[in-house]
Amino acid sequence: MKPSTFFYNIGQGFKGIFRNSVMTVASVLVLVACMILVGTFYIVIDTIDRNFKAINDLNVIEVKLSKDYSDDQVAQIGKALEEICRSSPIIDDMPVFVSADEHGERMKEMFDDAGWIDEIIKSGNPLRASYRLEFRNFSDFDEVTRVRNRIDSITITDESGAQTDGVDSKDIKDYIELYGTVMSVKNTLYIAGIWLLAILLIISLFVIMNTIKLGVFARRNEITFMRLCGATKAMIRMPFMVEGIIIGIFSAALAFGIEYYLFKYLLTDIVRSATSNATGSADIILGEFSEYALPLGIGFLAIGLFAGIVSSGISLKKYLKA
Amino acid sequence: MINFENVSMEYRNGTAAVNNVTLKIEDGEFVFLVGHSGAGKTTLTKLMICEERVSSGKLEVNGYHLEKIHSWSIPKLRRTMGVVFQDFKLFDKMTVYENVAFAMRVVGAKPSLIRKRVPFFLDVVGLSLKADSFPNELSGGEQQRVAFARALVNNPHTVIADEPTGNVDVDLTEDIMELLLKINKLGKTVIVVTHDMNIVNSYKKRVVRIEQGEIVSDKTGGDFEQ
Repeated sequence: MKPSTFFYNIGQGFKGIFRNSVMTVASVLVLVACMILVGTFYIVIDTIDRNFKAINDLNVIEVKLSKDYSDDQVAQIGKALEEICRSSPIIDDMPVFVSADEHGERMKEMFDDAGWIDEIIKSGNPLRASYRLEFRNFSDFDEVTRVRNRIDSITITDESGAQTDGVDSKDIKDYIELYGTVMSVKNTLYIAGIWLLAILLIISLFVIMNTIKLGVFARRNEITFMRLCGATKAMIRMPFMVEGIIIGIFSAALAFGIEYYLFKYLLTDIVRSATSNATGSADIILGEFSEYALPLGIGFLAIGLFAGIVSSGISLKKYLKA
Repeated sequence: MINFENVSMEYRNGTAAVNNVTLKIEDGEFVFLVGHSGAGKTTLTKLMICEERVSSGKLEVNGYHLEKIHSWSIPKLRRTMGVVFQDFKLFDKMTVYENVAFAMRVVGAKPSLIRKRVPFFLDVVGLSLKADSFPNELSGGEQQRVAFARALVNNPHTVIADEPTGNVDVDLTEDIMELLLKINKLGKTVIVVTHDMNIVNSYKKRVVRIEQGEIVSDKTGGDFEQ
């Protein structure tokens, strides 16, 4: 296509925008609503993910060891756990032994080296040693439950040589329920987001299609004449395609701007006011908008272009029959 | 050259619009296509510009075999034809100049070529001074001439005029016919679809008569009955 023809068609596309200004505004608004909802869902899901990852111990099962166990009995439990780790498809590493002293150090770190913790530990550490098993993938709940049951059934040999229960079920600490709850919230949001995207995208397509159809109807004689003159389908289609693309790009830009303000002045404030603790620092980790800018920009543009191109293509189909 | 060989065309409901038509129109000929309303004249022209497809037989138009033409070749075929519609199909919101230029724009002509050709063809049809007027500011005859300029501006091989004198008075009819003869002298094949036998008899050109989708006579002369 020659540059002059290209620019002529671009001009015609812009004219089309103003020909049906009310419908154009309606198309833009629906598309913007669709994009903002999708963008907000994306940010919320990402925030959940982000906070989820920040909680290190969530994908860990911790096996607390009785203070009465001898070194040999601790080693027996360790070996049994190693066996469980080897046979489980969702555990890559061997169990890690964390001594009572190490737990004490961690606690001190957690309370900013509070002196009273040090005193307690020195006067007889009440904390117990443990084994930590880290899961690669926590979504296989059945396997996690199997591992938990196997840990619960570990036996050790006592001083008399008899087999006895090695790990009490109340000493197996995990976050399966919390993980499950968070995952189900995340999945629900994810599915709701996908459905919303699909429904709003279909509505957007219909609204843009109607906008372009009005333009096509107003120009039906021109289109007929163009066809009979020898204009190619691409030539006939292009002004309408440009119209759809302009609606898409403009909606994407508008949605991006609104999403920025929503994020900066609404979402951040809501999260802060809802989660601020006594010290004033927020418990929920919220990313920077700059981190979302690229995926949101690309996503909005993709939705806009898809809606614009597809709807203009469908609107013109009837008039493009040779 | 336009060559119909046993061409038939029927609509989806089974109605035969053109039945076993064999007709050859050489390059540079001037042909009247006559017949009553519904005889099949318009269908025949639609077949030539590939607005309707041949059901059976062979049809060659300006080097394109329309019985097997691919959809992407249809625009190329149509660029070899200039059609003047009975209702002119002028665009009210475009000036005379823009109406004519539009025909060039839609086939991707360069602006420099448009700037050269449009004034030339407006001159040919005698409308140079009306270039900036809108169609509703023109008389019926002037509108007709704009339609001719638009049909000619892409330098087609063949010009088809569908009832060109249908909406104009006797004086304008003569003007239009003179214009068509002028176009024919430029070397273009001219096909005039009409049911006005007075014009046909006045110009003594080749006349092809169609009745019920069939060619019933094909001769040159000037003594045809209404």
